[in-house]
Amino acid sequence: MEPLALYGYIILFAPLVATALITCFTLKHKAVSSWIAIGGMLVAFGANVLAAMQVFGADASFEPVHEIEWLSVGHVMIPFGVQMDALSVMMSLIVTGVGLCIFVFSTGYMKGEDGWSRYFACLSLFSFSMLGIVLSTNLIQTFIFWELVGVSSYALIGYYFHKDSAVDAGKKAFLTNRIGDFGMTWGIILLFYTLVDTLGWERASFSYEKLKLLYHASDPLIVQVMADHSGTLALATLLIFTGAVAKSAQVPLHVWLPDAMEGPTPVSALMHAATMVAAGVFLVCRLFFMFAPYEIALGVVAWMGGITALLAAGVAFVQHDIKKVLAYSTLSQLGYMVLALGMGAPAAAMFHLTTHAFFKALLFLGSGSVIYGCHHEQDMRKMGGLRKTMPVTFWTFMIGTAALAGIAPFSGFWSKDAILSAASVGHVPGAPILYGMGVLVALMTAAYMGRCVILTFFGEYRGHAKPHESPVSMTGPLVVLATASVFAGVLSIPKGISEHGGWLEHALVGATTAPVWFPGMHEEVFLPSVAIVGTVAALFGLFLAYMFYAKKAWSIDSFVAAVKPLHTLLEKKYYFDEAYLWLVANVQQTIAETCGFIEVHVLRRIVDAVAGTTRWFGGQVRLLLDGHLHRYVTLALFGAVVIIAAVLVGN
Amino acid sequence: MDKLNLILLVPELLAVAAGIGVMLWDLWLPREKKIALSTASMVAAVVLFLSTFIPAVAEGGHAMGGTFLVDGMALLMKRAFAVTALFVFLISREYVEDLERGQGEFYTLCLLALSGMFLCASVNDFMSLFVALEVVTVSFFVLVAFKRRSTKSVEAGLKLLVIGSVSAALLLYGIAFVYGATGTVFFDELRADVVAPDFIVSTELVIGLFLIFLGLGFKTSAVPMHVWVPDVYEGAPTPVTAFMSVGSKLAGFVLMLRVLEVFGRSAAIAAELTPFLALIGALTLFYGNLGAIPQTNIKRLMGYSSIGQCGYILLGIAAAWTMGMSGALFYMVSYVFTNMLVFGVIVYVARATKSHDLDDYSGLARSNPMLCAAMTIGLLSLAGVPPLMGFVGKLLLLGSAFGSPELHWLVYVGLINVVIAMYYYLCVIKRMWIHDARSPAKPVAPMRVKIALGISVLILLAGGFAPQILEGLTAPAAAELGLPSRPR
Repeated sequence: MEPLALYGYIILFAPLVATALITCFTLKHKAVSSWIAIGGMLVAFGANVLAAMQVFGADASFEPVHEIEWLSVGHVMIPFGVQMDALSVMMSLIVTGVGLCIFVFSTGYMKGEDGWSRYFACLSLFSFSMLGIVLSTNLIQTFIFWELVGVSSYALIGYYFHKDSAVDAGKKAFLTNRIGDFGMTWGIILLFYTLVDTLGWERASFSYEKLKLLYHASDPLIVQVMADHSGTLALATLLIFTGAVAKSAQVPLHVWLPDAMEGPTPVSALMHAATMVAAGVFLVCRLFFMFAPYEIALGVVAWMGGITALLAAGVAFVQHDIKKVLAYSTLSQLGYMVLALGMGAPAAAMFHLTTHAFFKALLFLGSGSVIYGCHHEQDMRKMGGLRKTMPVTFWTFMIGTAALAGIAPFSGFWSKDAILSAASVGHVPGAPILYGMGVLVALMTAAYMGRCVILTFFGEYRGHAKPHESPVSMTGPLVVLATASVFAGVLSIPKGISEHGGWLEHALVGATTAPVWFPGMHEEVFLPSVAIVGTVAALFGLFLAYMFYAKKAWSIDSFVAAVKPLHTLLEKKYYFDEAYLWLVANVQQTIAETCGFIEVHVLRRIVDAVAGTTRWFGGQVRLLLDGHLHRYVTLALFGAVVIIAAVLVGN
Repeated sequence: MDKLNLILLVPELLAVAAGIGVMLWDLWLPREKKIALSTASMVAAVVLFLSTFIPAVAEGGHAMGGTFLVDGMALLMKRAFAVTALFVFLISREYVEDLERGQGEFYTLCLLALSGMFLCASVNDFMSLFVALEVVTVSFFVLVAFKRRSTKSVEAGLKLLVIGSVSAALLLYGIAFVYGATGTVFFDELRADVVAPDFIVSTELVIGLFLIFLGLGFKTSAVPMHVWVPDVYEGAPTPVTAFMSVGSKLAGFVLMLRVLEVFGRSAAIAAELTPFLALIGALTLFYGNLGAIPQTNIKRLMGYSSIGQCGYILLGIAAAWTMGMSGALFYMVSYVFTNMLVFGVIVYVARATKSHDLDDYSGLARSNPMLCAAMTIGLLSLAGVPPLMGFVGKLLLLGSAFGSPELHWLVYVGLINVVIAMYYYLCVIKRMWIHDARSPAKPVAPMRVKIALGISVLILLAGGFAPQILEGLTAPAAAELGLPSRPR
C-alpha cells in the first residue's frame, strides 16, 4: 500500500477508534473521553495534511484509488477503499479541520452537561461516517456511510433526549432523510441494473472511477448504448440526487434542518452547517460526470438550488432565534451551491462549500458563544449590545458576517462571485432568471445578516442575566475559523485578477471533469460586471438593515403591516410543515390504516397458519424419537431402504 | 508410492503418543495434581495443531503404500480437528476435575478420538476408512457413557453403540458391494478406474455407494441415520456432546467428501449420487429444523440444530462441484467456531444451574451479559445472519446448489429451512434478552474460556466481513480435489 492510501485509512479509521475507545472504556471518565476524541481528530487531521501535501504537491504522480474486494457474490463485486484525489482530500481537510475546531470548542460549551462521553463518542462516530462518504470509492460504500451519517446525526440532534422537541426533531431529520435515501437506493439499483442490462456484468460497476470511464468512453459501442439509454440513466441520476436533496436540505425536503437546531450548538456548526449538509453537494461533485451529459438533470438541479436559496433567505428575516436565522441562511447557501452545480460549475460549488464551511462554522460557534455568554438564551430580542461584553466573539462574528454577506475581500465574496458568474453565463433553461434570483439572494443575505448582527451586538442589552465573554477553549476556535474565513478566498481568486488564481478549480479538474463533449461545462472567469452587481446588492442589503434596525429611520412595523400577507407566509415558512402534516394525517394515515387492516386480517392469518402448521409438524417429528431403541433401529433401516428404493426407481 | 513415508503421519502418531502418554502419567500422578492432565492435553492439542505445519507434512503426498494421503483438504481439516480438541479441553477442565475417577481416561479417549479424526482426513482406501471411522466411534462409545452412575449417560452410550453397529454394518456392506463391482478398495486405483472410457456404472456400485453414504450419515447425523442424535446429545456429558457435535460430525463429512471426490470424477456416477444426496439433504434439513421447534432442553435443541446444519453441508456435497466442496469446507471450519462458542456457553450455564432446561437461559443478558452476547452471536451465525461467518457459508452452499438447474428445488428447500431455523434460534435469543431470570444462579466462565469465546466471536465477525481470508484456504483445497470446476 502506498503512503497516500495509508493516510486515507488513517484519516478514516482514527475517529472510529476514538469512538470505540470511548464507548468501551472511558464512558465514566469525562476528561479522558474528550481527549481521546480530540486525539483521534488530530491524528486524522495530521494524516490529512500529509495527504494534501502529496496530492496538491508539485509531484503529481500518485495513485488516487486504493480498493480491496470486500463482498463478492456471483458477478457482483462490492469494493471497499479510499479515493484520495483533490476533491476528497479537499473535502476531508474541511471535515477534519473544522471538526477539530469544533471538538475543542465543545470542551468549553458542553461543560457541565450530562452524557459528556456519549457526546464525544457520537461526534467521533459522525466524523468517521462523514469521512467515509468523502473518501468512498463507490456508490455502495457511500450509501453505507450516508446511512451512518444519518444515524449519528439522529443521535446528536436528539442529544437532549429528555426534551420532547429534541426527540421530535431527531425523528423528523431521520424520516425526511429516509425519503431521500429511498430515492437514492432506487437510483443506485436502476443505474447498476441498466448498466448490467446493456453492457453486461463485466463492465457494470459501483466504482466511481470505472463508472467515469464508461461515461467518458470512446468505444463506439458503449457510446451508442449510453446514448440509447440516456432517459433511464438521467432518471437514475436524478434519483440518486434525491439523496443529496434530503441530506443537503433542498426544497422540498428541507424541513428537517431548521428543527435540527435542537441539538447542541457545536453539533449544529459541524453537521448542520459545515460538513454533513454539504455531503449532498459533495456527492453531486463526485458524480458530476453522471449529471453533465443530461441537460434535464442539470436543469432540475439548478432550479432546485435557486428556489431553495430564495425561499430560505426569505424565512431568515422573520426568525428571532439566532440559531434559526443561521439555519435558514445555511439552507439558502446550500441552495447557492446546488445552483452552481446545475450551472455546470462544480468547482465553484466546492469553492463556496469550503468558504461556507469556515464562515458558517464560525457564525454558529459565535452564536454558541453568545448563547453560552447569555446563559443559554437564544432569542435575539433578549440580546443586544454584546459587542462591549463579548469583544472576541463580536469581532469574529463580524468577520463571519462579512464573509457570508459577500463583502470583498472576505472569502465569501470570491466564492459567491464564482457562483454568480457561472449563473450569468449558464446554459440551463431559464438561466437569466436564476441569475437574477442569485443576485436577489445576495441582497437578502446581507440584509438578514445585518439585522442579526444589529439585534445581537449593537444597541442596548435587553436581557436579564449578565452576559460574559466565553473561555479560551471557545474563543480560540473562533479566532482560527475567523482567520480561515478571511483568507480562504485565496484558494480560488479568479484568473482575471491574479495570474496564480483559479487554483482550486484547476486542482479539481481531474476529479469533477465532465465528458469532453459536454458543452455546458463552465470555465471560471472573472466578470467585472457580475462582481459589481453582487457587491452593490450586498451593500444595499446592509444599508437596508442599517436603516431599519440600527438607525430606525424607517419603521419596520409599518413595513411589515404593508406586506402583511407576505410576512405571514414567511412566518409560516410557506406552510410546508402544515402541508406535510396534512399529507401525513390524511393520505399517509389512510394508506397506513389500509396496510394495517390487511396485515391484521389477511397477512397475520396466513403467517399464523404457516407457523401453526410448522409447529405441528415439529411436534410430529419429535414423536418419532420417543426413546425406544428398537424403534430407532427400525426407523433407520426402514428409512434407508425406502430412500434407496425411491432414488433407484426415480432414476 | 510404495514407500512407508512415516513423516506424513507425524500428527497421527503424535496424537496417539499424547493419548498414551496422558494415560501413563495419570498412573503416578497423585489425585490432587490430576489437573495437570488437563493442561497437558491443551498443550498436546496446540502441538498437534502446529505439527500439521511441519514442512514435510504440509507439503503433502502419499504414505503407507498409498493408503494414506495428505492433501489440502486433509491438512485443513486436521487443523480444524485440533482446534476443536483444544476447545473441548478448554471447556471440560472443570467438568473433569469434578469426576471421582477416570480423569486420565477422559483425556486419553479424547486424544485417541482425535487421532481417529486425523486419520479420517487422510484415508486413501476403504479399509483405512473403516478403521479410522471406528477409532472415532469406539472412543465416543466410552466417552458418551462416561458418567457411569447416570442412567441417562449409560443409556446414551448403549444407543450409540447399537445404532453405530448397525450403521457400521451398512457401511461395510456398501464397501463390499463397491469392491465386488470394481475389484479394488484403493482410492488411487478407483480414481483412475472411474474415469476410464470403458468403465461401466453397475447397479451394485451405485447401491454400494448409497450404503456407504448412509453408513457415513450416521456420523454426520443425516436422515435416516440421525435417530441417535437427540438422545445421545442429551445424555452425554456436555463437553463430550460438544466434541461429538463438531469433531465426530466433521470426521464423517470429511469422509463423505473423500468418497465423493473419488467417485464424483465420473459424471455418470455423480448423476446417480446427486439425487440421492439431495433427497437425504432435504429430509435432513426438514427433520432437524422442524424437530428443534418444540424442544425444551438446550442439548436436545442443539442436537436437532446439528441435524439441520448437516443438511446444509449435504447441499454442497450433492452439488458435487468445486464450489460445493469449497462451501462445505468453509462451512465446516466456521461450524467449529460457531458450535464450540455455543457449547462453551452451555457448559458454563449448566454448571451454574445444574440442568439443561431452556428456561435456564431466561435473563442471561442480566446475569452474565458477556456469555449472553457470545451465545447470541453463535446462534445468529448458526441461523446464518449476516455479517457473520455462518451466513457466508450458507451463501456458498446454496450458491453451489443453485449452479445446477436440477437442484434449484433444493435451494428453495434450503431457504425455507433458513426461515424455520431462524425461529427456534431467535426463540432462545429472545429468552436470553427479554425474559426474566427463573433461577437465581449466576453463570460464570473462567478467564481462559472467556478469551476463547472472545476469539471465536472475532473469528465469526472476521469471517463474515472478510470471507476471502478463509475462502483463500478452502478454495485451493477444494480445487485440488479433482471435481469439475463448473456445475454439472
